[in-house]
Amino acid sequence: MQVMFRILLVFLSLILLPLKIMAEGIKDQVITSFDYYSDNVGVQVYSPLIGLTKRLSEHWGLNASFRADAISAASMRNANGKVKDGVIVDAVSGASGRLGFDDFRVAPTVSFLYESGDFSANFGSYYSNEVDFDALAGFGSLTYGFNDANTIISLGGSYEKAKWSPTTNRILYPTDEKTQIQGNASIMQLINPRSYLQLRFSYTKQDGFLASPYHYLINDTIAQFDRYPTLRTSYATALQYVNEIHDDISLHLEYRYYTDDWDMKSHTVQGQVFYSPMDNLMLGTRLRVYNQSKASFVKRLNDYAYDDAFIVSDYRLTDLQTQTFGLSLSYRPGFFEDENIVIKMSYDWFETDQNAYIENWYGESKIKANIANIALTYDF
Amino acid sequence: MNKTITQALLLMSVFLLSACTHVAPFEKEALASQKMLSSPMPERGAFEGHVFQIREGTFGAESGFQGGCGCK
Repeated sequence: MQVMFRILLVFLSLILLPLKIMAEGIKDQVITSFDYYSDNVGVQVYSPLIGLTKRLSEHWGLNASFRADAISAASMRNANGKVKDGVIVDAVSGASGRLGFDDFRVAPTVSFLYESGDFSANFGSYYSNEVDFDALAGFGSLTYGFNDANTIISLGGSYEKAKWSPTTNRILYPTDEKTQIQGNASIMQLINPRSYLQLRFSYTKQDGFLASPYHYLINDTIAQFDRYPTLRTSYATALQYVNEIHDDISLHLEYRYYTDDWDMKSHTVQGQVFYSPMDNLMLGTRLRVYNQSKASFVKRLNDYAYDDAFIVSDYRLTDLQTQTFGLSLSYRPGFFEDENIVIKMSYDWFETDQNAYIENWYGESKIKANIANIALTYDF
Repeated sequence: MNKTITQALLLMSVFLLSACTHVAPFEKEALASQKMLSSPMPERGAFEGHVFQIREGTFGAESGFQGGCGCK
């Protein structure tokens, strides 16, 4: 795809947060949500979603959602307009390669929820289709609360199989498929009536064609598509601490550490504060800082040679830092008798630091993005 | 380095957990409020989580499952 981006989201069918499950159980609920993304490298995403959660019986529930992503992108700079062998290479920057810079993606998801006493489970499947990429996945999780739900343990896993069909008709070697297996575990522990701690761990193994089929490196000696290893195993650990520091204010602190066998490491620190001046209103602010180190096979752009086993033009495998600042609002209008409607809005500013690979590909020294969401939930 | 960080996280968890007191069901009013949820704005978190996965190079240990697309 020509577009560098498409946003999907299959999160309604997610493994529900253990604390929320235990606190609220399965609720009949409709969610409508509209997400928007735009950045300074010409990508815009409009992403509406509708979801339904319905209690089927005393213990069972069904969750179904449907998301459609419409993406537009400005013309790509194709390695900053470089010419190789007299031809301006149309190495598009992301996923699909359809000209016109519009793409459309649909992603239906279905999952079943089970809850009985301190035990709950969730399992389901989703399908994602776009012009050059199809993915099908199954996922599930088990959650159990001990000791009056003072301790909640959750185990989950997913398997995803995907297939590339590049619009440039490029034949991908050694395979056009990609599989991902992920295992997750978490433990939540109440510390006192005003605070708790959650520790999360994930293991991910990816196998297949793991590069973008469109990214292309042009330097003084070569013009080559990106080549990555076909296996990647990663581990991530996150620790979250939530504390009600005042009757109206909560503080959320989180740190995540990531490492993989491509020798990439990352550190993510996030702080959030939520303020509820009234029962039906919550305001929030957040700051997130992310820092990653490059993969072991990343070189400077001009150092790659024709016979290198791996070639990287994608900035996402390089040394990188990003910052995100956001505001949010959640409001339960008082004019509805049952007060079962909640309106939520958020805005976030995302920015990378200066990066030579971003400059090479987009002609901009950094990526700056606006992310917005408006959602309405109705419990019936 | 990796082991050190993992051990530090575990140690910090143990330290914080050692301060735990049993919370009875009737004492959970504050914990049940929206601002105390692990993700008080889940709709925003879902979309943003995907943006981070696409615009950054690493992922994992999220609080929910995310499927893949052709952008990662």
